[in-house]
Amino acid sequence: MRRRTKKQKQAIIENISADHDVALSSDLDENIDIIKEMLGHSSDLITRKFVIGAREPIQSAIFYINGLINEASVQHDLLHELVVESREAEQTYKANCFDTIKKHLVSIGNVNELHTIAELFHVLLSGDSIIILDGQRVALAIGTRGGEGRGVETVTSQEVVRGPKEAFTERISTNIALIRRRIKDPNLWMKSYCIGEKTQTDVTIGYLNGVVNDKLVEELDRRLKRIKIDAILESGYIEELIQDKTYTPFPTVYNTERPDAIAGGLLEGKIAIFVDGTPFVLLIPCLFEHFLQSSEDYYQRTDIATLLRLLRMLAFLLALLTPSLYIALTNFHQEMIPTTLLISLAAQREGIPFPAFIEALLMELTFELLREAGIRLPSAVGSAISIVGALVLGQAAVEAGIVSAMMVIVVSLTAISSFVFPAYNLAITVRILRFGFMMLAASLGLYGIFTGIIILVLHMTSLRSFGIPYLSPLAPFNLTGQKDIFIRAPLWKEMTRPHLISQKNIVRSDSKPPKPPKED
Amino acid sequence: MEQKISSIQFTVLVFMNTLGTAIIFIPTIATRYGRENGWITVIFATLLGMVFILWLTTLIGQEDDTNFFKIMDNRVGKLISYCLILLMVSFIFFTTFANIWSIAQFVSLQILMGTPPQVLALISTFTGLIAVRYGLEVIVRSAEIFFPFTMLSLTLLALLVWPEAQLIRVQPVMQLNQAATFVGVLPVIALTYMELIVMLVVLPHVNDLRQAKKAFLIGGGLAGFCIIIVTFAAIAVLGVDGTVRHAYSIYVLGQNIQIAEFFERIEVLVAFIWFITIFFKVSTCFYFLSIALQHMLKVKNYHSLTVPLGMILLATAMTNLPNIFYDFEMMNSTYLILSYITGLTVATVLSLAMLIRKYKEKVK
Amino acid sequence: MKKLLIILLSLIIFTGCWSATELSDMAIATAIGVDLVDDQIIITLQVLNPAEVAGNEEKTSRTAITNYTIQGDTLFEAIRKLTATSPRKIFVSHIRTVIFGEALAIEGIVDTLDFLMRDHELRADFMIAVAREATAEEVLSIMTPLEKISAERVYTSIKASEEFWAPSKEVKLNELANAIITEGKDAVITGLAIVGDEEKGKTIENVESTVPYASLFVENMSVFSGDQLVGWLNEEESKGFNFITNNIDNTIESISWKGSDDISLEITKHQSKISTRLDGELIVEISSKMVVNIADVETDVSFESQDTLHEIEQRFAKTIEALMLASIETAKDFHVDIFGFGEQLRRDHPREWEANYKEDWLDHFEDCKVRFDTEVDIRHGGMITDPIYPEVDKANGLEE
Repeated sequence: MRRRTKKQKQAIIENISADHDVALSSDLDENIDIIKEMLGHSSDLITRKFVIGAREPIQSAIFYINGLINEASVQHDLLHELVVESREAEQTYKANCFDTIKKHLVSIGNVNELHTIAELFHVLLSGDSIIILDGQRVALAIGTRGGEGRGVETVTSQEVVRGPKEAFTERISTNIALIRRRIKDPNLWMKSYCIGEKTQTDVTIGYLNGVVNDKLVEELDRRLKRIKIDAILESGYIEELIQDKTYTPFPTVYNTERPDAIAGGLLEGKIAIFVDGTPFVLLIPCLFEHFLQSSEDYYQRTDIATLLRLLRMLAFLLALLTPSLYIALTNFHQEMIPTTLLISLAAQREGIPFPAFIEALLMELTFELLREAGIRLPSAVGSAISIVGALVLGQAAVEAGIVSAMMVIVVSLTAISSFVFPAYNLAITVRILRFGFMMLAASLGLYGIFTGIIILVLHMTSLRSFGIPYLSPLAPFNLTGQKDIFIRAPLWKEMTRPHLISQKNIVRSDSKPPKPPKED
Repeated sequence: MEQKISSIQFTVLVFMNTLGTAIIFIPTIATRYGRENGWITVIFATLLGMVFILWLTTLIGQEDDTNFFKIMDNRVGKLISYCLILLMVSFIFFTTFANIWSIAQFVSLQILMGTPPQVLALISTFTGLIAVRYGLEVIVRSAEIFFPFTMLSLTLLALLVWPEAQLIRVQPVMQLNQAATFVGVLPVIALTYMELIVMLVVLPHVNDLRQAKKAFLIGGGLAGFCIIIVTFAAIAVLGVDGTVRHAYSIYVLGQNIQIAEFFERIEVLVAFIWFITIFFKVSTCFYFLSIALQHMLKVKNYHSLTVPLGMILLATAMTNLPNIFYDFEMMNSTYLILSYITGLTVATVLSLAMLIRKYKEKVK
Repeated sequence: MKKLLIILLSLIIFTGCWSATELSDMAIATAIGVDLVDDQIIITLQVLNPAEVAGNEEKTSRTAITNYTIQGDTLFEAIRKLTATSPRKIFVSHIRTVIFGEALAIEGIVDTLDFLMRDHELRADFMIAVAREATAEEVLSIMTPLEKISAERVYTSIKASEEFWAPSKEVKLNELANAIITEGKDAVITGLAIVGDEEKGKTIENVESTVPYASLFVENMSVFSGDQLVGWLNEEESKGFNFITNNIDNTIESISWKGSDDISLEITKHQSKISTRLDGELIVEISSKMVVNIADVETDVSFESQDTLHEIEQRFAKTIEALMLASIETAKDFHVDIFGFGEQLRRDHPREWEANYKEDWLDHFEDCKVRFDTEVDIRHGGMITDPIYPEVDKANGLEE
């Protein structure tokens, strides 16, 4: 076999970067050269040449990327076997060498054959080890993925009092395993995609076959395949690329780092999207109601859960409307405030230099700054800053007569309410909308707020998440769906899956209500 | 895109359309005619209105197209259909800008004193415009969202004014002004049920037509019931003279709520009911006009017509109704006649066409 | 779509704010007084000084209320003129009381009423009163102890007096307007009088001493024919009026047993109903039921016997009937039907009313006969059974 010239090799390398399929050469050294060349002789590429077998030694080489592999398994299960054990064995490896190696030498589960250089790089950079043999046009990929990563830790963004505490991690395999561990059903199907030309990120969708709506899976498949982007660094990229509508303050894809929330969603017939490199797993379709529900609702008693849900609805309205209502009432509709309250408000506002709208805007802005600062600062300083900021700013501003005490109450109420939502992205939505409502209130009072609400509802009803109306089951109204919106009905009450999301296999629970044992 | 709506959504939309405007004007109008029997006037009007609705539901058969105007074309031929559409469009156009103007008047008089009604009319037209551009499905879904709040406000209003009510104010029942009580039925129907011909354009979109007919009746009946209650409450709380005297008597009714020194000054409930119902009325009428124009001008998509239509509506509303007294005057004369002519003509012609077709089929 | 929204939003923002008023730019008015002097309307507007009423800042020695007085041809003109004197925009939605001077009431109040009903800023929930032998301005100038705002004080004391004493009636705008307009019914309005030194009552000293120099007193009722004041009922007649019109919550009335007024009874429940009968002539029947408690006994009487209780009940009924009759007689003298007998007749016999009575109702009113049917029921006698009076008498006798 004639060795390729340097020029030819260069041509191959350029070719590969533009076009994917170039077969491996049968020459070992040439392959090694090409691989090294393509990675730009990066220092983290480990290449080691060795000989397999004693009788008819085969020149071979192993590649892996330092840090991506499981060091121990490469050393003990791979190199030791190949280099040391093969010598002692009686066999010859020349004929059928790959089969023999697979069968007798490599004691690692996941072994694949590779034929092209593009394939080879994909697995190599994912953390597998590659073995190539002299005279063979096939390479072996050995599953040695490993390396440093975060273990399963407790939830940080959606904490609950009662319920599992473990959270997803950055590693996709761990995340899928966390779900598998919860749903031990063969119908839990996974399908993988590789998205991002540069990042080659693993994206896996999971769903319960037989429960999920097949059209939904097809639609998601179509949308995922349509993505053409160089990098996927977080599930937010996927979210933005597959959502129904971009210009809306409302999220139409749900994300969570709670495995139990994802498992719950799968059981309702939704589809989970795992993205490698982020603990936030996506769930579609996602309706507005999901943002006001917490997985804890299902772990607490039904009456408590119902009350908490109603409280969250109230919090949503409060967070959205309190400052604007205050502005509207004090600036336009003083006749609607009870007399004694009006007198007390008027007394507080004596000598305040700003109009109520500017006052509210200033305070809300201060609060947003504090909140943002609290997130960015190291956790030890963060809480101190926010307390000091709130107390000192609030109190000092009131005492200096720049802001009225009532305004501080209004802003605090808004702030507290916005922390009630289980989902952080709805809180952001509300923050945006709140300022819009404040402007409406400042210019048109209650009429402005009403108009704003009408337009908001119109907008929300026009939204769809993967074809499902965003406000269902409220609009379009569905009676059975009401069991899990404002109230959380007891589990034995013939729970059904959400009407629009899943049409198959809809009955979830057929248990009878609990009864005390009959007395003899 | 094929727009399908459910019968529940249709019920809600009918309810909103019947209540819009009516809720605030009917108590005054009915009481002006029937005096103490104003609420009885509304009862009769509701009963007659149900008959009218029943009639309307017979106009559309199961097999038909979803576009009402195409149905008309098929039924009565292009020429007559064209005339009918023209008649309906002029009436609905009248209704729409009158509604836009009356809410603007009300807001600038009672809620935002000093803001020019022109601006408020602009804003209501704009919200209607947005709704129409989103399409019928979005309109009915929003109606579903607002329905519970509207009912809640109405119930609260009825319950909270109860302590102030004195039943002797509605006595003597049906002893005096009997003739006027019945005469009053005419304007009441004109303002509530005649305007429901606008729903004919929505009716074919309902996915189950038999349910839709029931829904039409339920929606109209429920709204009628609410108006009866409100009229009764207005007379019992404000007295006959009080109700007739005030231009917006149920707003005054709301002002009368005073419970436990805390539940007071909540007339905003009334304003809310009125905003919401009138918004849906304006949107539905707007939708009707857009579809009708689309049909008449043979445009593919009605969206391009909405903006110019909105501008025309706004301009008409601003120039044609100079003051509130004129508004009331008009409601009792021009509007009344136009309303009856349109409603009855359309219904009669369509029924006749249906009868003739049936007869022909029999002969064959 | 987006463009539309943006245009709309910017329009709203740039066009709005016509009617916005900051709380610190408005003066909250709590009372309007209307007087007539030399054919000129004089308006007194009581305006709050909120910092003195509420808030936790240091209170100054300034008063909680300020009165502005101005004259004009009409009420509206006068109120508008006030903006020249008042440093802030006057906000009238929170008016608690409207007081008419006696002179204006005699002349007629209908012009004022029209403004009060028409103005969209005014709400109809304020109390209306007539100043007796005084001008509204004088009444509103009296500094009142406990309640810093005298309008509020008038409002609450009329309410309290209606509830616990009875010779007054809370009259609100809508009711007053209805009474003036409705055929077969005339209006009454509670009166207010100043007791004491009026001049000193206007100063802050009035609230600095334990015994105020002057105070406001909820008087009896004024009687209107149409919109003009024609006279006053005295306390007994005012009570009688309320007994007839079912406007009693709780009050005290005494009967004479051995001496004069020696047993007082507290009425805890009262229900009365007017009905009319036409048996050739017009008969008005007033049936009332009341539940009473024995509140105060200043004579020697034992309640052990049922007969005694019956006797008391009957005497009490007679007393009440006398009150009612007195007020009816007075009303007849004034030639006004304040009880709404005519309205009731219209309800009971609408056709006869239209045919025979409507035109000259007040003449028929003067001729009508009144029948009473009063039921009194004694429930309990306070914390003790028999009075302690006889024992004390005995003790006194021994000492002698």
